[in-house]
Amino acid sequence: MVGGYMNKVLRINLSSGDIRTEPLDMEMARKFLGGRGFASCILYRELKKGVDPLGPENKLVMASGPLSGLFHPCSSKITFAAKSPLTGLYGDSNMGGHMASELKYAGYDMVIFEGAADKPVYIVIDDDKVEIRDASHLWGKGTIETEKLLKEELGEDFQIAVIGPAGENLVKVAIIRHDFGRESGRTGIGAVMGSKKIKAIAVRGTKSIPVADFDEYLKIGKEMFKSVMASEVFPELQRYGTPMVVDWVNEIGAFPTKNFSTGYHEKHKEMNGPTMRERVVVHDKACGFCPIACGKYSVVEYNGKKYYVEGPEYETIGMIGGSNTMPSIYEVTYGNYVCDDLGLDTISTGGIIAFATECYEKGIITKEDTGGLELKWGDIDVFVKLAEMIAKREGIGDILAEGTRKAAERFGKDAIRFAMQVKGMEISAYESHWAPSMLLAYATCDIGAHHNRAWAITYDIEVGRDKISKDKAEKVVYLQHVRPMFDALGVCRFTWVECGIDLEYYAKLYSAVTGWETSLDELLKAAERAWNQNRLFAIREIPDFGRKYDYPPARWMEEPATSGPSKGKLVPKEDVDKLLDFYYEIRGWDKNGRPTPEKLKELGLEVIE
Amino acid sequence: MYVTVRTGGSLLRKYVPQPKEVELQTPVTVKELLADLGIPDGLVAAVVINGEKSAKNYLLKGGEEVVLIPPITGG
Repeated sequence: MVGGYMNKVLRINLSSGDIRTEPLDMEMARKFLGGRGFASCILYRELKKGVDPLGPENKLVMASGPLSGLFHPCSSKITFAAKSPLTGLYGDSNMGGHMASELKYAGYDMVIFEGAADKPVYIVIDDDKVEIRDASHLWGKGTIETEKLLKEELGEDFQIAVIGPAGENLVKVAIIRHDFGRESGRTGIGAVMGSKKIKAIAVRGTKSIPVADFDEYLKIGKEMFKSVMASEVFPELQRYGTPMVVDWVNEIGAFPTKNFSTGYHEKHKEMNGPTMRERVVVHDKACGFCPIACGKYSVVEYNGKKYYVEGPEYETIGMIGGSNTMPSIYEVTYGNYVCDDLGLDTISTGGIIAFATECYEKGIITKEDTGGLELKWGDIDVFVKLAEMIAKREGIGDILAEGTRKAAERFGKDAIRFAMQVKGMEISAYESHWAPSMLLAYATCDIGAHHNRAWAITYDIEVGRDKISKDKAEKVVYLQHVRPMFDALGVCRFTWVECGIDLEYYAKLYSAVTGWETSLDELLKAAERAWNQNRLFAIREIPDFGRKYDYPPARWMEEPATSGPSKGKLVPKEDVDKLLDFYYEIRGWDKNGRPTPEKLKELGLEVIE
Repeated sequence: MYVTVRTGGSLLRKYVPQPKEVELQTPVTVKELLADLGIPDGLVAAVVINGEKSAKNYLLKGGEEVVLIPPITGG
């Protein structure tokens, strides 16, 4: 028996209403593990070149991992993936909560949504019973009300993922939201769900997950719990969550401020972990099987009304609080609530509005373009108004809803200089004027600029921030395999860098659960395989895809940071080229960043036209 | 006089793998202690001394337990 996997894939065709199951491809399981590995494999194999990301030919994949839903620490990650409407490339984003486990309890490793419905629907997966139901009563509602209504309609024991108005209106930075605060936020994955007219997915299951060697599994799981809970980081992470790093990021000059023109925000202490805990946090919140509870549930009063929201996470503080230069945690929390309820990614939306504000400040756009709105830094009312316009595609919001890269093309002049994005996706909250490794990680990330594929900024600090060297590229490549390995296994990586767990545990765990002997190297090889396959996906979509798509924004290469510890710093283009040369060589890619036939052979990958 | 140093997370563990007694000749700040241990200042996001969150310019006089917390990634 192979454990960990439920050995069943559910396919739902929204155009025809056809619902069927098929056995999991076990060869794929060995080669790609699960989660983002499955998504990478399925989308490359099944999508035709050039499909419209928002057309019925695109597929939305929802994939758990072989270690999801079991009771070792932090086993609750699920990946949503599709061809991204924001980048035009492979796109995915994962969320915690309880969806990964519930999907497996219902008996499925993965669901593939195909086609598109002609009217709003929601999907109910109740063990073997799967239905497509009318969602006209939910269409147009915010994420919070939608999830509440479905909980009332179906029962508390259903796990529910929803989109908001932004997903319905095909906004390219729309999210999928679950459990009132866990999001697949990046790559515009919510717009793909909206294009299929799926308002929500509700799952309930009662089955057990098979485990090959249960005694061994229990032993390892217990050790892992002990290790995580004994970590010195554990109490801090539990108390403050990810915002515990706000002061540190400012101290090193990497807090994205004023659209990444500087890495230092004078008001950072007004939005750091302790301030947030004192002023807005109501209680802690954990995903399934997590002893950490890094999630914070908060409340903020605005114009006499109370708003409850899970968060803000560090990235939201960075992108709404820093990049838009808000004065305090109150504005950030309110902005977080508005984005979440509309179904907008706080990272990309923060980036887009900061970009628009800078364009306005520089006269690239005027009041005529904004419909009379005066854009200025640190104004939460303007931020919220713009977020609503983006979600509803009203006025200038219709242009901004396409993301910064497309908006910059529409605005013309030299707006593209201020579009802080790579491959079309907005950069998350690490200002990298003085962090060449982090800059390289953003520039080469397979889904567009995202910190969670390789958080390399600490390596810059360790070995010297001005240094341009091969070991920095080596570190980025290594991290680009470790972190996606977690996503493929369906588990959270907070156990690792944060709580210091030995990575070898995951190889032991995978062997005990599945019954397949493995090693850490083999797991990392699977992550590398998916990384290369996503590169092949990009090359298939864009024939000249290569080095020129791997550059960071001009601001990091040409305009020095304006203040704080990184003042005067930048990474010139010739240094970026050196880093890319190292990076491609380490990856076994040619000088234009394309995988060589030898590398593909080594990984067992084939080019599919 | 001695202080006990403990670290958390994989980033700092390589510098101080196990809790360690460090002898001080004179009182030193946490910042100076980090330099003595070869730990880059920027890799320490927070310092907890005897259970209380403290600044890096805290003057250690001996007998304290110093916990060094690395940065974590955002969510």
